[in-house]
Amino acid sequence: MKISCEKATELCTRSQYGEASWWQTLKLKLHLFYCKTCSKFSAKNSKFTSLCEHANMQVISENEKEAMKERLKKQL
Amino acid sequence: MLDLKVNNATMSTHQLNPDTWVDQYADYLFNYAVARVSDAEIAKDLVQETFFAGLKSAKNYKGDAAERTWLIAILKRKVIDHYRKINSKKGKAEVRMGYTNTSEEEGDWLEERVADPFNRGGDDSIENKELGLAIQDCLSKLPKKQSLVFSMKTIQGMTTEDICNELGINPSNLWVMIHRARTTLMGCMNQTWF
Repeated sequence: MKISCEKATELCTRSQYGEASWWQTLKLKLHLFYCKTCSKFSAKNSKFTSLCEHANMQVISENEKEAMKERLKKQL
Repeated sequence: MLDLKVNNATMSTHQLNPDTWVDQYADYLFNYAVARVSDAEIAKDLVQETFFAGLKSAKNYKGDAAERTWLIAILKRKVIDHYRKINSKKGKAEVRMGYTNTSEEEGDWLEERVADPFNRGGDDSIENKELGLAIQDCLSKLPKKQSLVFSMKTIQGMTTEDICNELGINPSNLWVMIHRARTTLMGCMNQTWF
């Protein structure tokens, strides 16, 4: 049942994406119950998730980036 | 390939490396542009045009601004030109409708309406634009693969399975990379946003 802080923070990241299993979530919750450091990390991690959601970020796909590079090379 | 060193007497350490522009700055410039023209396709074109213009005027680069700042300055002009073009299609009346009537400020208003990322307002959407750029900035400092996995998962919202297939990695690799990326990003963003 007990997990290391390293494992806990990684599970915490998984749970940010809703991809921790039921069992993993339980182990994480138990760990957070007694570990202050990981609780802090977990709060920060959640805050970061909400920052990412509010940022409305967009990226250019890798394919399009390659095309951009090609066009740029032609100009060199 | 092309490495434009600046040998000026007043020299600083900045120099241009067009080979790395797309990988280093495309997403940053893209987010800057998207926030201002609200159209992804137009924004992409503006980014590409910015790179072209950057190459063309590379010889004028004096090295007193960082590469990205210099590219942003070019992009800013491109955004303004874009609005000029739209406006001239709509007819002259709108272009002349300045908010100031003093003659020396005439023609300034379009420039002034392009938001300055360094000028913080109380406006929520301005804050969001800056937030996106701040994350993007930290993201560009990560190892390539970490930033790629992070953006596929977080920004493009792809499923774990699709990412693993595309990159040929297994899920536990993926989670380790995402976890490392997030930890570094949180450290990078710390002072201003948490």
